Amino acid sequence: MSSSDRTITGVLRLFLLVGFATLASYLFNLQVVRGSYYQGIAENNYVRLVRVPPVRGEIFDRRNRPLVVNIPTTNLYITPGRIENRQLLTRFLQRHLGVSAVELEELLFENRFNPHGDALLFANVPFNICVRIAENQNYYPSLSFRRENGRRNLIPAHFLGYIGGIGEEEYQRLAALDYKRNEFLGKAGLEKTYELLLRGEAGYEVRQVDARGMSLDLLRHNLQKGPKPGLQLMLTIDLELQNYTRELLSPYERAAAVVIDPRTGGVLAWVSQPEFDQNRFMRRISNQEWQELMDNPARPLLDRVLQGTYPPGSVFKPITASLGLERNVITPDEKLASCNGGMQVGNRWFACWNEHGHGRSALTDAIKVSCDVYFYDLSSRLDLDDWQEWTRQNGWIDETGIDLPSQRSGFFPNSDWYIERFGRDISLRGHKVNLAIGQGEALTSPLHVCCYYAALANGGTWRTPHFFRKVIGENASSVNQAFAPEQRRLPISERTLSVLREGLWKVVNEERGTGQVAQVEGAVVYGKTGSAENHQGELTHAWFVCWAEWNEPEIAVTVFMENAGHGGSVAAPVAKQILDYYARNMRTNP
Amino acid sequence: MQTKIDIVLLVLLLMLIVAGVLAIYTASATRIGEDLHVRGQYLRQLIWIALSLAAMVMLVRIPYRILEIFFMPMYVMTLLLLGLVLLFPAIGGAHRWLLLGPLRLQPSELAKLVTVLAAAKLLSKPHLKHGQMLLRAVLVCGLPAILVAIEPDLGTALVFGAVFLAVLLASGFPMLYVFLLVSPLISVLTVLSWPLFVAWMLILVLILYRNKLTVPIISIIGVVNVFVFLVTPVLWRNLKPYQQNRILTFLDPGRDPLGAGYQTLQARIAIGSGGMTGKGFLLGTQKNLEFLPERHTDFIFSVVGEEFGFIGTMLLLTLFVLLLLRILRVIGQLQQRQHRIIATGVFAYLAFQVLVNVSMNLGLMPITGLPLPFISYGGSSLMVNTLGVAMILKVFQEKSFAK
Repeated sequence: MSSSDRTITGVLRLFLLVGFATLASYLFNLQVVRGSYYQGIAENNYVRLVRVPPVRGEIFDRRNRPLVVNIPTTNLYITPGRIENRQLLTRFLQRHLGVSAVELEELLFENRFNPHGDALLFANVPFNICVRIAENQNYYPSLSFRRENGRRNLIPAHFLGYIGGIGEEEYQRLAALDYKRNEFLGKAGLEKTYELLLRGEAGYEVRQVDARGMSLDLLRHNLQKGPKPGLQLMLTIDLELQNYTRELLSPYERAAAVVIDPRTGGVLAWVSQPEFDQNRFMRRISNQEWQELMDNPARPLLDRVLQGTYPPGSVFKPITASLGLERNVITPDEKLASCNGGMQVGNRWFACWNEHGHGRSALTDAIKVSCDVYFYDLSSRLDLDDWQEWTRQNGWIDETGIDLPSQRSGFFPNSDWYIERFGRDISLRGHKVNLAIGQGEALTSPLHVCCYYAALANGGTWRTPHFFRKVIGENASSVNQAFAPEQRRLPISERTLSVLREGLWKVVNEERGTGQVAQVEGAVVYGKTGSAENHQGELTHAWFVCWAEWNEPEIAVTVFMENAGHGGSVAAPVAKQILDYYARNMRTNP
Repeated sequence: MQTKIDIVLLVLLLMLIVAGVLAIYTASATRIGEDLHVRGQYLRQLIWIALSLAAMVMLVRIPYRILEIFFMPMYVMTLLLLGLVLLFPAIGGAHRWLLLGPLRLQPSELAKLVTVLAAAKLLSKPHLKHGQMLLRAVLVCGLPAILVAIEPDLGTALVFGAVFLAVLLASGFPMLYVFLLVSPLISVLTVLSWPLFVAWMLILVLILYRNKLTVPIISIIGVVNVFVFLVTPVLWRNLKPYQQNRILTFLDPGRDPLGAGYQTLQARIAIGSGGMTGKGFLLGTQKNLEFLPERHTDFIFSVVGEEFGFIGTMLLLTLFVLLLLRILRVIGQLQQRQHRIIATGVFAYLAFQVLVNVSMNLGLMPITGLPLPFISYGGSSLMVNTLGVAMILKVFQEKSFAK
């Protein structure tokens, strides 16, 4: 063996040892020095934290009958990053779901920064359409179904509201409360007010997954934090009375009725006609459907009890009267100007609703026959700014604080308001005449009216109207924790209160009273009619507000119908039926 | 006939083969919870092991001078097979396998050994001039390298480069010239930094000067190296983006963790997470949950690293080092040039594949698709590697007759 051969094997040996020493040092660094670092990565590789959404609390009436329930639904999601053929997908969705190209475009644009997240494309997909999409799903890898809890309102009542997918702005606001994109939350009505009670708390599961992200069901049972279901909500609503009231109002195109228990402020029934099916909002509502709802002249989306503001007409008269009494500009027995079918104020003739006239009346009789002239005359003795403040203190202007979102306030002008509009030298005289009988610029909602009369029924104590009765289930909180109704004394003396009550009693119970229809056997009924002139149509808005007492006042009812005629002849019979129903079915069964 | 066998070499070979079966068993098993599922690859590998050992016994028993007759015909036949394989449908984008019923044969594996044997035959002729030697070596290694590169299988083609250098060295070609042949490659590697290149050129010139080469030769070599250095960036710019990407991803796997760098990254995570002692036989999470690609073939070293830790990888590497050192020891004892060329050639491709495959698993080299000898799943590879070692046993046995 030559020396050069020895050199060759020597060089090869050197190469070999250097090579392996290099590998060994790398292995040492990788496995020993940085071993725990890579162990962490390996664990992250296969461990996923999966959010388990909670079950939303259901909503029940005062006797545990369900109003809003959870139902299993199938929702369709889209993962923008996995769209293969956009054109084909657009046509496919158009054909099976009626999702237009523009809608898809908008959805994808909203989710442009999150191409690998799922975006809710269509909630509550009907089963037959699910099947058709699932058949073609291998062509559209961007689409995926999820079985989720959906929501169903069992009655179409405005106050229940509905839930919907979280919007961008809501997400920004609520992300800190553990809200996620694609999550549903209350969008309107009680669903919105009591979102945090109903929602519950999401749980988390640690799942072991393989390289394709499939769960292996390994760690599932020992490493998890279960979701906490939302609280069940019990309302003060009585489902039977609610349904009965709905039935009574159904012949009317645009109407509202609200029934309150004056002792608590709890709402027993609440109907705004026309109703609409909120469940439509929990599917994906098509543009066409939406447009139909918006274009409907009867405005079904409007909750008339809460958001409708109307001239109160004669139901406003107790406010005018009580201010007169409290400011000592009249006495209960004082008779004012004689009504001969109207009254001349300045250069204008103001008619009374009864063209035959009422003659001269004292206060309680003026309320009983709803004589306009009495109040025309009274208005000249009242200061407008004081009057506005009075109206406010009696709860006719500010939001009532009811547990519903988006209430509208009422309106009553003051002198500044007129000066701003008509200039300094305006004469307020004529305007005050109109305001005295709840006409002119005065506006209020049926809810405001009902609360005021409930307070009169309740010995002058005004209570915040509310739906919340209690929560059912774990960690149940009482009404005081979740919703604290206020109560305050109306700014009227006992004397004034009893005069008003006498007048309102006469309306129902004496000869010539405008609301005699509303008498109920065995009960003492107080009430006030109203027929408010308005610019919406020829016929007046019909108002009737009343309450019924047995040993104590138990039920206050406001019925309101747009452009339906006289309160006494149209609204009062409906209110009477509600009182009757209550007397017959609910007093024995409280 | 005296049958003198190098028992140490044989035992090391058998240990590696046993290690390989264990590795393939765990690599083809999926254990999730208490639920163990093993695919049949290790069984097929056991059959191949039986066949390979039988072939080895037969080969050792056939007299060398009879074997020698088949060197060149085998070489020609293998070249034909390498041509034929291009006509078969591609699997995974490469025409690499001959499909014979249930068998999938890889002629490029066979070509490694056969090329070594042909080179031994051609280069051991006495009184060859250096030029003739170089030409023969280039031809005998170049032809299969080109055919394999067409498949395409760049990794295997590179193996022929290693074989080429080894057989040249073993046949007495001066080491200085081998060094000069390799020098442009080193120039390419220095392309990333000017000072490095300057330093390298100084070393090169110094070595040439020390070996008393004439000025013209020194300048020619210098010019070639400078030219290569200057041309490489131009070539780089002419590469297609995906080719550039592949190289860049190799340099930094993290730049595309879900794309080209995925395999490298997952392999590194697997090995690293094995730590000192490993996660235990069958218990590798990267493997069980299929994060690790090509678990039973190219990336089987990562499975070993994950389940047996640093101790396991060091044991395996030590086995390889011992085997290769033993082969070098045998080479040192061989008298005949032809024998030395065979042993050195086999040494070269085994060592090259081990180094490249492990480097690839560690993310030190681009993913080339070279299996880890004796460990990776694959019948052709196991058979050829075993026969390679058998040839060394054979020539070791022969040396007793030489004198």
